[in-house]
Amino acid sequence: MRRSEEEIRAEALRQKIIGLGETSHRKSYYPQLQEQIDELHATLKALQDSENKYRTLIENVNVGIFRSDIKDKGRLVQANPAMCRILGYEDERAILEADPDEFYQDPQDRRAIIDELKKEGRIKDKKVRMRPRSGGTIIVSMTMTALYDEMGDISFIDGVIEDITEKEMKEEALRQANKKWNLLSSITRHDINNQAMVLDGYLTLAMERTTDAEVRKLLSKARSSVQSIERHVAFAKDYQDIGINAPRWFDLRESLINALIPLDKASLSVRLEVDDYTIFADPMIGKVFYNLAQNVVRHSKGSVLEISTKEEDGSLVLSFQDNGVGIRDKSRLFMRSNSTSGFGLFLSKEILSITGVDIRETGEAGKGARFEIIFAEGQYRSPAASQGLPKQ
Amino acid sequence: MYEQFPVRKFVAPEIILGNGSRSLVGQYAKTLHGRNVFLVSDPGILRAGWAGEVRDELERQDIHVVLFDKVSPNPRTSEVAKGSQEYQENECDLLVAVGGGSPMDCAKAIGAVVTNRCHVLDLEGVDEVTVPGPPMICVPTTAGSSADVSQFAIISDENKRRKFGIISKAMVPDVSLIDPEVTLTMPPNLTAETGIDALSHAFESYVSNASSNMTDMYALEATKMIARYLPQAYEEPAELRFREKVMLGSMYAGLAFSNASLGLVHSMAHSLGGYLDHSHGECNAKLLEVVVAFNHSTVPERYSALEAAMDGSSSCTTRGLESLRSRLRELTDSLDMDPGLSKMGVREEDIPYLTENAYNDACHVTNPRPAYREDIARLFHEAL
Ligand SMILES: [Fe+2]
Repeated sequence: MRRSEEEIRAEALRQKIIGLGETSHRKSYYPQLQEQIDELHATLKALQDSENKYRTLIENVNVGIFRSDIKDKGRLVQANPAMCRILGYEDERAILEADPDEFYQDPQDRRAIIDELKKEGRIKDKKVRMRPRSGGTIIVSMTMTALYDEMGDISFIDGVIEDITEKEMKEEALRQANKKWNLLSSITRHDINNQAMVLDGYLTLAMERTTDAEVRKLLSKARSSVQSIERHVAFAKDYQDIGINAPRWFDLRESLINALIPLDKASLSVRLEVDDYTIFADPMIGKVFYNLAQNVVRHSKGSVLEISTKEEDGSLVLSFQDNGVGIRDKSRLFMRSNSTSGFGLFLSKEILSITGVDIRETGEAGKGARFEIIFAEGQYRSPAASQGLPKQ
Repeated sequence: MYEQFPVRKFVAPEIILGNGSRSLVGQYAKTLHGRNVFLVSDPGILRAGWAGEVRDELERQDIHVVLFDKVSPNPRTSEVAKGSQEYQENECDLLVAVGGGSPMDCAKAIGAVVTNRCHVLDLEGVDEVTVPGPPMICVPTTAGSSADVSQFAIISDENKRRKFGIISKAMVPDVSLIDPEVTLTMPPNLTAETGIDALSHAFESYVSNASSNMTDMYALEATKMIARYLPQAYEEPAELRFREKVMLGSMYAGLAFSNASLGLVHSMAHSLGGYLDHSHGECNAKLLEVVVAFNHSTVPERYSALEAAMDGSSSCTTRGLESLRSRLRELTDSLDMDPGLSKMGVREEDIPYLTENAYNDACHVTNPRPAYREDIARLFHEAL
């Protein structure tokens, strides 16, 4: 038995020596061959390096990366170590064998995702509740792209998932803390306002009861202090609301009209020369318009306010021009410490800065104040472009 | 069993034969686009002046030459490694080997190691050379090894005291400049040893089970020329006309064995040479007769033809084994070669190791009679 194996081996060797097979080549060497081999080696090495680089990257990232075969019940055909870790599988082989329905808390979610992918071709940052093999629930953010075969049908889905369970929990905790803080803040404001009102009432009474000019002067100062407290409380209320709601598109003229309703029209007449623009801003934008109008009466001592729009270097300039004395010292105009403006301008600037909108004062002292709000490209839509946009 | 017209391949280098052919080395180096030649030789050939002459010829053609002469009589793996390293360090682009079987086999192995980026031991076996070596020109200075025309390179694995073969069509050199003049400087014992090696090539290829019509023709003609002229070249070393005949006979034998392969004599001689570092020809001389005796009954008519060739006749009357044995002994006697391995220092206890290595050598797969370990051991005993 052993001999016959050896004989087979010997015969195979003999055939190779005779050399009629495919591995027997006459030497036909050209110097270029070496160059080609060298080049090939260099290319292969570069390729290997680059492959290693990407493989290490994919293996080391903290987000799960996968490809699933939609024609094989959505079974995974590729998964990186982070994907296995997130879903609690020991290695790629184990996760590739798993039924993808098992990944989801509610398998219905999976079908909804596939339907959406069929319609949209792509899903971005979708929050899904998944079920790791070890049990429990995790929340992941999924981004997926469909790959199509030559018939135009989805063949594979490439996706990235990130375990955001902890992030979600932290955000929830933050929401809770914020809620408590707002509650505390509004109760406190309410209490302070009540007490300030009572205090103001007593001070008024005290002023009526005394004829001592010295005392009346002191009481008057005390009253303006109380009013200052009320302003601070009002500021705290406004400031609390900034940035709470997401910015969106507003019809500019409509926003202005609504914002200026509470104004005392007897002391200020407003001329509106505004085109049909829409602007992208924080929902508190109305507060800004109101503040600027209020400013005319309070600080510039004007009686006429002209609000107009103008496009300049690709930007939209919305200006508030009054006929008052204007503003002499502009250095601390938009600072919180500028108590003379009652925090209004500081607040306005804060509200505008949420969407990156700028504000400046360009008026000449003695010729009235002129505030300009500058909406850069992308922050506004011109009358033509805003046609057909739903009114706010 | 024996096919009259089997399908066979015949591979040979470009051969330039004749006195003074060595002077074409510069022209051929240029043809092969050599600008920086790695010249492999050995100290003996350097002393004889042939390597220097070839170098001058190359430099006359503005070709740069890197000389490598660190080659032992049985070239070793370490020498191949050193050579391939120097070849690469000097960014050479052509191999030229000047010398006997040792520098030529060493050069062939260096070339294969350079292009295959491996250790020479990785190339052991048949068809293990996947990328051909750089272009190569040989100028043989002995009439025997025929490494200049063959697909074989035999290297000593000095760590295991064995020899191994690199057998591949890619090992056939590109050009062989066969110049009988350079064999004039061979001392008589080298003439005898290399001549008997050549005769062994003719014998083994003729009885090989991979032989063909072409190799048969070369093997018989080689046998005829060597048997007739080797003793004369041995007696009168300076006589160029005898050298020419022996050189031609050696080349015929080389073409025959390169394409038909060899047999048990070479497997045993490789084992022996690797173990005791004796000359290859001497080992063959001591083994040829016992192997002929072992094979004779399998292919008696082939051996009759060889005996007839030795006598210069073409008549094939069967004269039997004893007649051939005495004819062979007559030849070795005329070359003052003693039979008996024990005189080389082989001891009884060495035989198992020698047997194992001989058995693992690829040459005997084409031996006409299959040889197993016990056969080989017995033959070593007989040859002691
Ligand atoms: Fe040989």
